[in-house]
Amino acid sequence: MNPLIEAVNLSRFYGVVLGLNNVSFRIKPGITGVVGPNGAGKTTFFRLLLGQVRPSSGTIEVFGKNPWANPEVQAQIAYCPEDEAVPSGLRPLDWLVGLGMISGLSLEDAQRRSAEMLERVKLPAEHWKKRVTQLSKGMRQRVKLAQCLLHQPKLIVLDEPMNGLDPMGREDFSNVLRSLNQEGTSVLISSHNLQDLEALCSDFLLLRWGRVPRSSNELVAPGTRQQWPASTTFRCDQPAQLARYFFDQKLVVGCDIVADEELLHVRWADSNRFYQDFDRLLLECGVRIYEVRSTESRLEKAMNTTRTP
Amino acid sequence: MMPATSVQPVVQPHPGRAFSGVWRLTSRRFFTPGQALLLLGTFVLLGGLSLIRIRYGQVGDFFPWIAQFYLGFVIPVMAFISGAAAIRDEMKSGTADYVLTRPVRRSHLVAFKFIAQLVCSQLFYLVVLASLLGLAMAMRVPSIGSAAPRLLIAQVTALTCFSALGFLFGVLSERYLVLGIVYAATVEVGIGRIPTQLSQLSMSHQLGGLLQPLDPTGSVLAPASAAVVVPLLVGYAFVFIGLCAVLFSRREMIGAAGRAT
Repeated sequence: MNPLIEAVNLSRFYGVVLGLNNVSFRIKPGITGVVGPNGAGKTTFFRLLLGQVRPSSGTIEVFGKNPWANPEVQAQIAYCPEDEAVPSGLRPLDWLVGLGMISGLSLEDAQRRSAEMLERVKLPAEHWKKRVTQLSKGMRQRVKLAQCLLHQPKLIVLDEPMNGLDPMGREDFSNVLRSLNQEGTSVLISSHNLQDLEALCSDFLLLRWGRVPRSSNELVAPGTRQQWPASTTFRCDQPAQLARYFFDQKLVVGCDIVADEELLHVRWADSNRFYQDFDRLLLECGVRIYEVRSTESRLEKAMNTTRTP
Repeated sequence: MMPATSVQPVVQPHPGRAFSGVWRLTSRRFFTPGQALLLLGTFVLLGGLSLIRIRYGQVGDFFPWIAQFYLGFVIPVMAFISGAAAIRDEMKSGTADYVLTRPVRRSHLVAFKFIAQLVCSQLFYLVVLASLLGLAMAMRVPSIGSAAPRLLIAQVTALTCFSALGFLFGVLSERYLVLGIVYAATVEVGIGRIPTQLSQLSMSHQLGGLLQPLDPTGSVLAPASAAVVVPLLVGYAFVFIGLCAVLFSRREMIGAAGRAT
């Protein structure tokens, strides 16, 4: 599959401050999560691909073209910034119509698309006439997403879009992104909420101190994500009994019990053996089980690897 | 190595529609209830000053006052500040991230923003000038009718060139007020008062010449024809906006988050 974005030996410095340092990568169509701690270079990468800043060295191509101040590329991209600042004195509908027209839509199309997109992001109609600055953070995030969708871009870049959204809002947001992806729109999204990202994204780009650490990115490569987790957490009424049962079955190499929280963290000898037969095993163990989840997701593991120099 | 995916965009860059979009956003932010209050406050302040001038001076003092204070100071300063603030606003992350990532050339954006901002300013100060002239008529200031066209031309021209200067200084630095004070002290007040050809560089000097017939005794400037002054000052405005467009097009929008990275 041809890449949407291709960076070759890409660097960007702000004086002596490092943004990105000689990174090369390709991003394919789909939903891609851009992950990294603060200062990893995520926003710098977004600004480079949006054509807002130029590389210090190396190249970046978006849709096969140099994005720097290039309206041909910008016609296919939309951006939802992390910054909460929005223009004062404007109502969502007015703002969206204006932005739609700047994107090249006619007045009629801009008005129609603006109303459609505000409905799509589930902004209640009573908020359409309020000033954007008067909306709650979650409502503002919805308006910010709606402005991305106006001109039917092929790539949407979202920088921490789920900040301020409640769980229902995050789910709505994710559903909109999934449906956009099914319609052929690619999404590049950064978030500190790794669980949401892992549920949403088909691929990841991990950044650390302006670099793309190969070992961490291999941990979250699409192929490896098909494997069962190496450790699992159970919430149950008798963690000690469940641990004994797993040891008797020779399934585990180690475990930790958090009695206060009725938790058992298990490290599998062979996770395939457990997950392929887990319904029988859990029925036979004789313990009431409330929750089964991966102890540490692959993304969390990769991030932890990323944090350790 | 495979080439990167190339797809045709659904929308195409369209300068006409982009201008309409910029106009909508600018005018909706300009004509707000707060702006109406500002208009009222401006009128009350300037009207009050006019009344004081007319009642405690002479009726004939109205023209020197409006030429020197209103058109020679208030309008240039306000036009400069509103022009600079307008373009700085486009460079703030709350606006730039949404507008500059859209398919429109930055040079076009500067031109569109300037036109939209200028039209809004012209309408605002047209109301102020009309109110002041109405007040003067009520106070029976003579020759208001014959002076009004010259005052209007001077105001429109002053707003155009000083707004353009504000745009240029706004792109140059966020401390545009400091730059503006240095410029005013050097060019408008300094060079503009030196009786040589260099004084032609001063825009307020040009405006003073245009308004000289309204204040023939108080002004030391030679009268100048609107046919000369207006094209010259509009030419200055074109130069300022051209420079502003070049600088704005080359400028990187790093943003607050980028600076922190």
